[in-house]
Amino acid sequence: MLSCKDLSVELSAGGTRILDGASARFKPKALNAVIGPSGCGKTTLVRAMLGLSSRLGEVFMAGELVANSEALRGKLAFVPQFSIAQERLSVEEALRTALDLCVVDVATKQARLEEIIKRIGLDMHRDKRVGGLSGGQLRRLGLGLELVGDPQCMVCDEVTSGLDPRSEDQILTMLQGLRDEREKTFICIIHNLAKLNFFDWITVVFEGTVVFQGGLDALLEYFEIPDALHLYDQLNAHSIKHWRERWSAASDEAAEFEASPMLAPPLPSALSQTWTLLKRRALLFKRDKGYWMLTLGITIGFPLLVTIFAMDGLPQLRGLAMSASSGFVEQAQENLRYRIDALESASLVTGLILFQVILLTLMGSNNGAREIAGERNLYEKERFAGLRPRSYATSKLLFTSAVAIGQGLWMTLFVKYVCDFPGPLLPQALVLILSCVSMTAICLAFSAIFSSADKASLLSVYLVGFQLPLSGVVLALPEVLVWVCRPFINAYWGWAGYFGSMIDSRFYDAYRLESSEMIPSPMLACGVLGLHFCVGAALVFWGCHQKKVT
Amino acid sequence: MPPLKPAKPRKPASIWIGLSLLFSLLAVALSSGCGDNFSDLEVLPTESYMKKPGDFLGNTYTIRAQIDSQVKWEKGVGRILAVLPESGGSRLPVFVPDEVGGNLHIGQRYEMRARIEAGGLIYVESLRKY
Repeated sequence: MLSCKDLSVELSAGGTRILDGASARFKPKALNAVIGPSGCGKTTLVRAMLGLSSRLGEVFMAGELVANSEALRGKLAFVPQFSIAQERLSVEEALRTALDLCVVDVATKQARLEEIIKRIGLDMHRDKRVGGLSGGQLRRLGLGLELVGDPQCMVCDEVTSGLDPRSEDQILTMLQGLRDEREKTFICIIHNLAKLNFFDWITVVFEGTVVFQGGLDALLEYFEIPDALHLYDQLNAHSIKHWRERWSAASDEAAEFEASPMLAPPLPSALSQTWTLLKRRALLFKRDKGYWMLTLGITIGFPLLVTIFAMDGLPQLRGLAMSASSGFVEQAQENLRYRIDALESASLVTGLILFQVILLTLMGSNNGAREIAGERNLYEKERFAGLRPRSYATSKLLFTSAVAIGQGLWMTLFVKYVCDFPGPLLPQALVLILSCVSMTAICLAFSAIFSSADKASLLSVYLVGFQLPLSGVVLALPEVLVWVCRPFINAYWGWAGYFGSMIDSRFYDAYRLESSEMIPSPMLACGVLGLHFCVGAALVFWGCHQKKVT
Repeated sequence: MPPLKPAKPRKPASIWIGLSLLFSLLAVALSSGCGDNFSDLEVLPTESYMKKPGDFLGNTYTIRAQIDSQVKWEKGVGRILAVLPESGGSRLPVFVPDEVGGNLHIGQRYEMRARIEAGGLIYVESLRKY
C-alpha cells in the first residue's frame, strides 16, 4: 500500500522544512488514521505523498515508486475536507457527471451510481441540489464522488471535522463498511482523538515528522498514557529530538505490508470527457440565473448603447466637385466645408466602430476571466480523479467561444442594420466575432494561469481598459510606440478590420483625407485576431496543465 | 504490478503554437502585399521624373498618392488627375483610363501601377485603394 521514505517539504528551495524526513507505511484494507496537533504537518505529509505539492524523498504505492500524482490515478482517490461539487447540480447529477468523467462502461456507471447513492445514504436526497445539503450530507457526497472510480485506496482530509458526533459516527461506520465489504483502504486525517477506536492503524505526526505508527493499544503503551486524549500533552512534554530518536530505535522500517498489485481502470476518451463537461457547463449556465441574465443583459444592452449615438443613421457625406468650375474663393469655401464635414463624419463613424469593439472586448473579459479560476479546486480534484487537462481546456474554450460568437454576431447585425453601416456584412461580422472570441480566449488564459478569480478578473479589466488608449485610434500614440503596441491590441485590429471593410464608402474617403496611415484589410485583421486567439488558447492549455490548489 | 510506463512528454499547447505560427505567417504575407502586382515594382522617383520625364519612358512604377483634383475628363477615354505622392514632392498629373478607374473622389488614396508613355505621360494600368 502507500508508503513514503525520508519525505521532506521545503517552503522554498533550500529553505525551512515544514516536513522533515518523514517515513511512514499504511496498512492495506484497513482504516488508517493520521493524527497530530494543529500545524504539525499532517496535511503536508498527505499532500506530498499524493504529489499535490513539491517534495523531496520517495513515495511508493504497492511497492512501486510513485513519480507524480498522475501515477496514482485510478488507484487512489483524495477526498478533500469540504466537498467540492457544483452547488447548482443535484446529488444525482453530480455523481453522474463524476461517473461520466472516469468510467467507460454504461452499465457499470448505472449500477455504481445506485450503489454509491445508497451507501452514502443520500438515496432520498438524489434530486436535492448540492447547495442545499447539510454539512454531514456534503461530506458523504464528497466520499461518494471519490468512490465513482472504485479506487482501492482513499485519502480523506478531515472529512469528519466540524460534524456533530452522530454524523461523525455515521461517516466512520460507512468507511468501516467499505473496508469490510469492498476491502478498501482509508487514510484519514482526523482531529478527534476520541474516535481512534474506529481505526486499525494510527500514524502520529509531530513537528513535521512521523513519531509513531501502530494500533491503538500499541500507541497507549508506547506513549505511556491511559487514553488517547492525553497524547498531545505527552508529545509536548518532550522535544522533537527525543521523539525522533525514540521512534528511530523502536520502528522497523524494513517491515512492509503485503499489497496486491493495482491497475488503473481505462478512462473515457478525451472527446467523451469534453462532451460531458460541455453538457455540465450548459446545465450550470441555464441554472445560474444571475450569470445568464448578466450575459444576456450586456449582449443586448451594449449594442443598444452604440446605436444611441447614431439613432438616425449615419450622416450623408457630400463630395467635392471633381472639376474646378467655380471661382477660387468659392472653391476654397467648398473645400473647407467638405473638410469640416469629412472630419465630423469620420470621427463619428470611427468612434462608433471603436465603441463596438471596446464593448465586445469587455464582453470577452466577462466571458473568460472567472471561468476557470472560479472553479480551480474542483478542476484539480477532477483532474486527480482522471480528467484530462486538454479535455477541460477544450471544453472551456468551446463554451466561452460559443458565447462570444453569439455576442459578436448580434453586435454586428444589430448595429449594422440600425445605424446603416456601409460595407459587406461577412467580413464585418468575422472581424467583430473574432475580436470578442480572441479577447475571451486571452481572459480565459488569465483565468487558467491565476488561481484567484479576482486577480484574473482584475487583470482582464485592466487589459480592456488599456485597449482604448493603446489602440492609437482616438488618442495619438508617440510614433515609436505605435507599432510596438498595436500588434497586441485587440481593439485596434477589430477597429481596423471593420473600418477596412468600408473601403468603398465615403466615410473611408473622409477619414483618408487627413490620414495616410496604413489601415489593415479585414483579412489581415482576422489573421492577427486569429493569432491572438491561438496565443490565448495555448496559454489556456498551459495554465490548465499547471497544478494550482489553494 | 506492471512497471509504470514513463509518461510521454505532453505538448498540449503545441497545436495552438503551430496555429499561431501559421497565423503569423499569414499576417506577414498579407501585410507585405505578397502575391499582388504592386509590391514587386519600384516606386516612381517623382523629383527626378519632374526634372527629366524622358528618362523614364517605357518603364513601369508604383505610385502611392492622394487625389488632389481632376484636371480633365472625357467620356469613354478617361481622366487626367492631379495627385499628391505620399513620398512628397509636387503634384503629378496621371492619366486614368475609364476602364481602370472606379468611383474616384478628391482625397482618396490609391496605389497605382503606372507606365511612362511618350511625352512623359503617366498612364495608370491598375490602381488599388488603400
